[in-house]
Amino acid sequence: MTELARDEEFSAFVLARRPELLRSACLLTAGDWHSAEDLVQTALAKLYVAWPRVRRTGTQVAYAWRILVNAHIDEVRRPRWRREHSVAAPPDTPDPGALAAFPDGLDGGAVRAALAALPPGMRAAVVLRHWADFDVEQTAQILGCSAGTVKSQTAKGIARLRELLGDAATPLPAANHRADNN
Amino acid sequence: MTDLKEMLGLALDDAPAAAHADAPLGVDGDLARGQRLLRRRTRGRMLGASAAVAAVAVAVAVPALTSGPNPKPAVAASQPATAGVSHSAAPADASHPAATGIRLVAYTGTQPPGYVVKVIPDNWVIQGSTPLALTIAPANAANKDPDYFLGKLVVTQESFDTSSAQGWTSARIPGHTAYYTVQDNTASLVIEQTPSRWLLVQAPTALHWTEQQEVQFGLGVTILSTAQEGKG
Repeated sequence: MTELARDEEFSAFVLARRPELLRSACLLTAGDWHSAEDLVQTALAKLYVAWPRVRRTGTQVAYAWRILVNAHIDEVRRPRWRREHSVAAPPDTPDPGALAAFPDGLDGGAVRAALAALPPGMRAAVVLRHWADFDVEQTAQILGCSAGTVKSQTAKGIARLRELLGDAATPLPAANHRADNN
Repeated sequence: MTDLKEMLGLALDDAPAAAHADAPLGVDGDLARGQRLLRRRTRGRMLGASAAVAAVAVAVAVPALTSGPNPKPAVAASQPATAGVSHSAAPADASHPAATGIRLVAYTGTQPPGYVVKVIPDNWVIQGSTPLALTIAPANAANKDPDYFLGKLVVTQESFDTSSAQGWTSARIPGHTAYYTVQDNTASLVIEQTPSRWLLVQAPTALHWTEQQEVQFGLGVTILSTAQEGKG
């Protein structure tokens, strides 16, 4: 394909998909906007490189997600000294221990804190399944694990969120919502 | 609140990212980052990567350039590169009928750290140099970042596996092994300095250079020992 065609197709993809990728990345990072933006930029740059290949197979979306999630997990696994930076203001995400201060309420900060308490792979499984609406098989492909692992990680993640946020504040998936036993 | 997805949405409702995610999009930044990464990877694939960092002696070409028998200020682009290159302010290739692109002129400014540059395109400037790359761009280029290479003239030191030179043609440089190719709006030239060290010139096709013009430019650049080998 020509460079011009590649640029046009990629630009159209970015226009259509970037907002959702950014929101999802924000969930993956438990509300860390700056890291989320970095992840999206990384994912889209790599997607551009792979564009001719992934467009042939029609896997642009899955590829972008795979890069996004892998980049996030890689970042989290780096030694802490490489992830910590001086900032002018405290981070937006409260310490998970502060949840005790919000026993009766559920707001964005509480949810972000609960997400932050999940291991990155477990958090990714929850976000992919219940935010991005990928099915088990798709999630397994993106995460590079088995369907069984996706099911167990998602179930454990939801249970942990419920534990952190309280049953009343963390509703179960709706009855007609896709169950993880499919 | 009715389901888990709605609960997750709460995490975004009052997050700083929410406003950014819904802001009007400019895709130029993502496109530029992708193009830059592609350029680097393409270069890395073509030239291979070596962990060694070594001094390079591009200077092997320079004595010939500076002491050639023809003292004329202008040098025909298609003449052997050993014919000599002007150090005057006169155009370096203006006399050659095949010189179709932006002409080369002697570089009279401050030499960038790590490099010695004898000629540059007319009305282009040296934007900067790092141990990894020398970047030259139009004087009025909108992008002033020397680490941003699109549309610019870039010189690096590379290792090069000749077995990976598929699609490249041999460049005519007496006394040197060199290869040349044009791909994706970039004309690339590698000139062997030592068996494992090559000088790479990446020129945008917008310069409308002939192969020999790019050769003439490449032979006018010396990479000093402080430069490092690039990796894709």
